[in-house]
Amino acid sequence: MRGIIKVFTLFIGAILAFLLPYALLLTISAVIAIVFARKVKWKIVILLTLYIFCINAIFGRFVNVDPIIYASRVLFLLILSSVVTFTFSELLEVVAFFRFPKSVYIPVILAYRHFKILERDVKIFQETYKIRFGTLMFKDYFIVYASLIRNILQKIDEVSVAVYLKEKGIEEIVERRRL
Amino acid sequence: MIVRDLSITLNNKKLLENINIEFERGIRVIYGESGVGKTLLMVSIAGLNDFFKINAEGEVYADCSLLFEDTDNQIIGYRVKDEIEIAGIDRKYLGLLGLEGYDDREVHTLSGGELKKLCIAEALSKNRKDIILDDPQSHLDSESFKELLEIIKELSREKAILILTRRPDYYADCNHYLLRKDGLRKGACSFYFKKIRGRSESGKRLIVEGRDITFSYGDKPIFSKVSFKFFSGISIVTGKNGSGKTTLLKIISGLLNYGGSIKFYVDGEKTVSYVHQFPERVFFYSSVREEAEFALGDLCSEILEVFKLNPEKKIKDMTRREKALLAIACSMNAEVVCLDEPTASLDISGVNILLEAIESFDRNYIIASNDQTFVKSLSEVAEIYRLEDGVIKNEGHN
Repeated sequence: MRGIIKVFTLFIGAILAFLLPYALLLTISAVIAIVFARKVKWKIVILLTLYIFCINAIFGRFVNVDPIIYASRVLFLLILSSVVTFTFSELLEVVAFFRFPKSVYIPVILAYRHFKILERDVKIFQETYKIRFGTLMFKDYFIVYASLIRNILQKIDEVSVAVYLKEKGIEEIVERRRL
Repeated sequence: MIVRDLSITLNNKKLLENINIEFERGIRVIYGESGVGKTLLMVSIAGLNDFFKINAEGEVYADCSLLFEDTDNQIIGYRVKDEIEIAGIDRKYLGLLGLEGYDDREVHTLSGGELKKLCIAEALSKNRKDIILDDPQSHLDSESFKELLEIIKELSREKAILILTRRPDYYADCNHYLLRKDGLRKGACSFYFKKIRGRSESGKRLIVEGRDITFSYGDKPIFSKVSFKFFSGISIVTGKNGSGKTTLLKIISGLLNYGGSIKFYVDGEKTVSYVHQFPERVFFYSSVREEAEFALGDLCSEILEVFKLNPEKKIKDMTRREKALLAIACSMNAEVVCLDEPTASLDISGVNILLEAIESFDRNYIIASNDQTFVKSLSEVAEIYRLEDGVIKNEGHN
């Protein structure tokens, strides 16, 4: 049931992000961030929020957009999505609940596995970079992330094999959870 | 398992031809150097040609379960219990391999050896006639490997078990076949491991000292107020899978936040380096020269030469052995070099290159390894430490 609750939390969060005023969004984001400080992926959240704020601040002038409104929505959604994470069995619970066909849930599982490998590799890459070259500076992140993307692209076949070999097992579990 | 006149082509290049394997039960060990095509042979027998973009011709009749060398080819779950459920892993094998009670552990928190065991348990659990295991020995501690051999021997009474390996020294009692481009050759393989000698015992000095080190992963304590000393030269840390060898090296390298203090007694521009236990996964550039120059600066050419690496080669074209050697080479500019299972991806010639490099570069090495042959090659000059139940014991020389 946890998986379903998480999906609905994300769904309601996505709606609220467009309904609530920015001051309230910022307050809720701050509360979630304080409570789940260790779960929030701060670098991604701050970078993307700043990016959205700057883009809107520059181009918003021409189309009458308030950058803080957009930035607060992005901040809220990013914080919410980095706090609400799914375990593998929760993911299977969700695909079973929504009765997704196999052609949908197998790619979802592939994407999930890629994401988990990426999460693991980020850590390994950062550690290796740090030990070889010292503290990571802002500019170094471009090298690290470019290498990570190359790495994950090379892993597509490996992950596909893993999922292919377990397709039958996954199918049986999804069927069982549907009943 | 029947394989007749199998030939394998990759990117229009013929990699293997005239491969013939035929047996109903028992164990066959196929030895081949890194890059010869062992993994491609395995996936071809298993009928996974499309995934690896290979063309195969010949007759294959096999109903097999597989153990891949890289656990990323096999694991998809988040927790161990997910994997047990999806893959239908028999708990008997989990128990025999020492993975009982691991159900709630997140897969990414398992050690290299524990991950390997989970994949082995999966391969053994499938109700298939044949089992193909690609380098099952890598990352396993000696007790677990002995246990694995016992299980395999038992299963081989009813099944055909094909072991593909780059390290035949682990399977001295089995029938060996040498895999070459033009087919399989029967017969025992001869192999030679370099023996490191000659480092003077006198003048050993303290290089790293840890005091009251405390560290835990969540609720699981690894070290509780542990103190240790490592001396100049070569130190080898052994211990069961999951005993904390990687954690210890990461703590020494400053990659984990720990309680207590660590002090280095070395001079030099760079104090410590660390090579991850899956070194082939971490590269920042696309060619050997770029990667090595970035990491080593002026020392690049000299170090690449000792490691027998071609600077012009693209990293994507390198074998697993070459990638592992490159990662190790890139760490050679520090006074204290921490190597985590450095031989796990190396074949015999790769291990000998590493031994030569260790002999050539006068650094202080702290090596976590369960590779008995490698440890033996260094036993005359290395201090052996055993990590057990969070305590580090100095066992002197082997």
